[in-house]
Amino acid sequence: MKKVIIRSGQPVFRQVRLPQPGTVLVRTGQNVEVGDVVAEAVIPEKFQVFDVVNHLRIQPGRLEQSLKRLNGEEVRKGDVIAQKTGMITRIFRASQDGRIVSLREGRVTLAMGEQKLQVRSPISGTVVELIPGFGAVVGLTGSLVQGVWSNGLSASGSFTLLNFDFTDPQQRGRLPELEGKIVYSGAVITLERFRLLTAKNPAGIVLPSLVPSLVREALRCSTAVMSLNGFGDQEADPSSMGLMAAMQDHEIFLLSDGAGLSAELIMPGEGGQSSDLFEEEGILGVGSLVRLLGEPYLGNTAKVLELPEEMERFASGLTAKAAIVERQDGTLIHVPVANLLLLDSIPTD
Amino acid sequence: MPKTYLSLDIGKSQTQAWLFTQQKGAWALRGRASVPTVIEGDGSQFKRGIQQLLSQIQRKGEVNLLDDRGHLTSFRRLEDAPAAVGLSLSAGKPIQAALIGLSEAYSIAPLRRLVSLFNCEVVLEVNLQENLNETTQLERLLTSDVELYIIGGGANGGAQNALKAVIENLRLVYHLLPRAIRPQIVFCGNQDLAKYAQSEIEAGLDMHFSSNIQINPGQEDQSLAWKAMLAAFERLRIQQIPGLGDLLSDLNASVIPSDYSAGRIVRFLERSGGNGKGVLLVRSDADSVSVLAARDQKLMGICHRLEINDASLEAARGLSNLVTDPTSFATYVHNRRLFPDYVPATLEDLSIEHAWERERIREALASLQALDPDFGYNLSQGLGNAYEPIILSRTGTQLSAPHQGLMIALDSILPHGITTFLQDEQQLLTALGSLAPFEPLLPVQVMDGEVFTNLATVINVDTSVPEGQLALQIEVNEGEKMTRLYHKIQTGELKRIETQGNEKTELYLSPEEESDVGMGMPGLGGWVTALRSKVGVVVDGRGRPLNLPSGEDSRAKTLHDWLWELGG
Repeated sequence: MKKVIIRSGQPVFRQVRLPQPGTVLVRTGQNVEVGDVVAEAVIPEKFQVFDVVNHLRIQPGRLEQSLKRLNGEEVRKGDVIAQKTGMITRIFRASQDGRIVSLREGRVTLAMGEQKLQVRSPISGTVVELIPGFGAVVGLTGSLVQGVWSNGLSASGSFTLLNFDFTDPQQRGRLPELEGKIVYSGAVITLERFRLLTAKNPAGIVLPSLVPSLVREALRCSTAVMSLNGFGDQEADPSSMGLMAAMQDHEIFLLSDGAGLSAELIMPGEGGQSSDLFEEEGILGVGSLVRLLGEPYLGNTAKVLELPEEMERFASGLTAKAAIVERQDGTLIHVPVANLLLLDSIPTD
Repeated sequence: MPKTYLSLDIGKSQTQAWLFTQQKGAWALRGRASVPTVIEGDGSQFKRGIQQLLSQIQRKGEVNLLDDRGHLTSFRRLEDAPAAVGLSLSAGKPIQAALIGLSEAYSIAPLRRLVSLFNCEVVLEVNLQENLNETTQLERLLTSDVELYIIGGGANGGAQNALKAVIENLRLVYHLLPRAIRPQIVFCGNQDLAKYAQSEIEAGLDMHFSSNIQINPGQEDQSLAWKAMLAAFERLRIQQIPGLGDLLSDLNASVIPSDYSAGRIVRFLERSGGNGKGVLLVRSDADSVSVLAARDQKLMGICHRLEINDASLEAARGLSNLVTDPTSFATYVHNRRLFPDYVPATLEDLSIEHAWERERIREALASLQALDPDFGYNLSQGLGNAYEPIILSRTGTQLSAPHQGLMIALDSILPHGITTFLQDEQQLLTALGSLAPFEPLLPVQVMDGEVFTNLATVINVDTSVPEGQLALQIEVNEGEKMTRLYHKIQTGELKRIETQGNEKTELYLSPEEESDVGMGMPGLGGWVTALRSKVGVVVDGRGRPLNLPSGEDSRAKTLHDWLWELGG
């Protein structure tokens, strides 16, 4: 059963890991800030392969006499690596400081310069676990609102619930300053409105849902974009709205799991509702809060009233396990269980 | 306790298990169960899921799969454990592969065909004839995030210099930049360089060798490299999926790609078929379609994930039997990808679901054609080569009634001649493929037990007769005591003849002079035997390409009418 967590007092953990072995720069229990380097690996900046035999035109049998440096040796810029003497002397010099990393079959490979491959913490928190040689797990406790889609970018900044009427001609051109902020807009965001928003250079944009025609633009833009519910014209559920209201003007993190994947808003610190430590995993049951995933109730919030054992045939002719749910307006409907998204949250009235 | 075999398939959304036992001397399916696949995290959820699955299966048969506390344990220590476990896997991101070869036609293209069965995504191709200097080549190899390098190309005894240079570069890539997930290297090229590559690269167990897949100039045999590819696949997946290594150890099993597993059986069916036709499997997953085809003793396959973009959405919308506005259509398809278990509950949802499925299958077939021209598919003309049976399979919930599934397949595949459609409702092809090496009789006997649903016998009429004119006459013989029925099929018509009540039905086909029903030449007819099936005999006189009206409403109505003819 898919679910999204919408809670305060929620422990959040993030693995920060190098793709290759390196040095871990933090220790367990250490507090880290957003952007702090957690681990780094030093790798050559570039390589150069030089075919001594062919480029200097020497006999393979005379290769050893032509080579002036051996495998593994450090070299300085301008050092002679190989030389052919004769009527016209031909020389291969190191173009940069570096090291000979391979010398085989008449080919010399130089590793030159160095660059640091670093992984940084996307959140402020405490190092709760080290991954030896690769990185660490950073954790914090705070308010968490999970969404189901993002464009792959993460951000941090002050959170703003945008109260702006895009349809009001009086307000045209008066979009507030949003630079560096993570902004939520409940309005239907068209391409034009999206461009208006991104022109204000926010760090992140959070929408209740994304109009399908915006997907390509959102994936291309350099601002972190997150959709709470997915696609179409949907409203945010009251639990998410409640927590986001509490996030107003606070520093938060928008963390993406990757392009096209889920994301979450995190506000560090306690407050508001709290959840029990070692809480049971959210399981769908009578009383569960759910989001409806299909038309004509796309995005509606409802409460599960009954979970009949028998399969049910739906209007499409397909049979599936059903749930009887009560929508916010009090109407009862039968929905396939597969078309529910469990909201792991404390209900709001 | 009877001897048992267990098959597990770790799919993209569901992990399934099948238990087989001998009943009355023949192997048969004893039980089947499934749980959601979870491969993220530290492996604990993955392990819990497998335990839950084995617990369900244990209840279905006289077999021990867990210890007294209900935990996974080594099968070697368990009494009455299955004799062997076959394990296949399609979960996880595709393996990022680099193909290195001496030429496009003789090395790179065959390597593309090789990796397509192993859940790979090609992220880099190095054609050594492009004469990249060694530095540029090394930079390309280093900067691409590659998990699997495959070196092919070169005839045995052929040119070596370019291959030696790339082998040297691979050595540097492997040793200079060690990665958290150790890349695997498969060498299936010039055999004179195999030992050289082994001693140069020094990748130990991460290097895998096979015979040269280019057996003669222009002639390839992918199967020579399958063993090496399987070893590389397993080593990569063990590193990528926490808990998989322990599971393999406990079950005393190896893991193979799901498509490869199903492909084994498709290949076997083709070899044992004896009708001179190929065998085709179209398997739909929530986010991808696998097409596996065996023909002339050659296995072709692809796993295709259709990108959601304006073009694919518009093409799919044109295949819907209800008119839907573009935004609603796109919204459904985008949300569907986020929630793969979604069940279309309304007619509108179902029509979008089926239209998108049509487009996914069409594009998967076209992609296999682009990969392997021997397949014989064309988007407008359909599948020119003869395949029988054509097997349909879907993981997870069945999202169509039998006639709807047939309609989707028929419109996407557009077969020619006479063929049979089967449905593998229990996804047994994948299950049987991973067990075949342990007990070759098992797949044969299980399939003999009529485990596939016979969907329909389909007779396609290729004709130059104008629309609305007579193309074919059919005489139906349902038995001596039954009245013979006669049908006239006109060009553009789709007709269903029910066979539900009869074990088999004889049909005499009498095509018009310009009509070809696949009996060798236009105008040639004869008797055809159709076995009992869910939908019956479907006579498709609609021609190729399908003649769909250009107007949205009339096109949807035409598609709706065709579906109605097959059962609504």
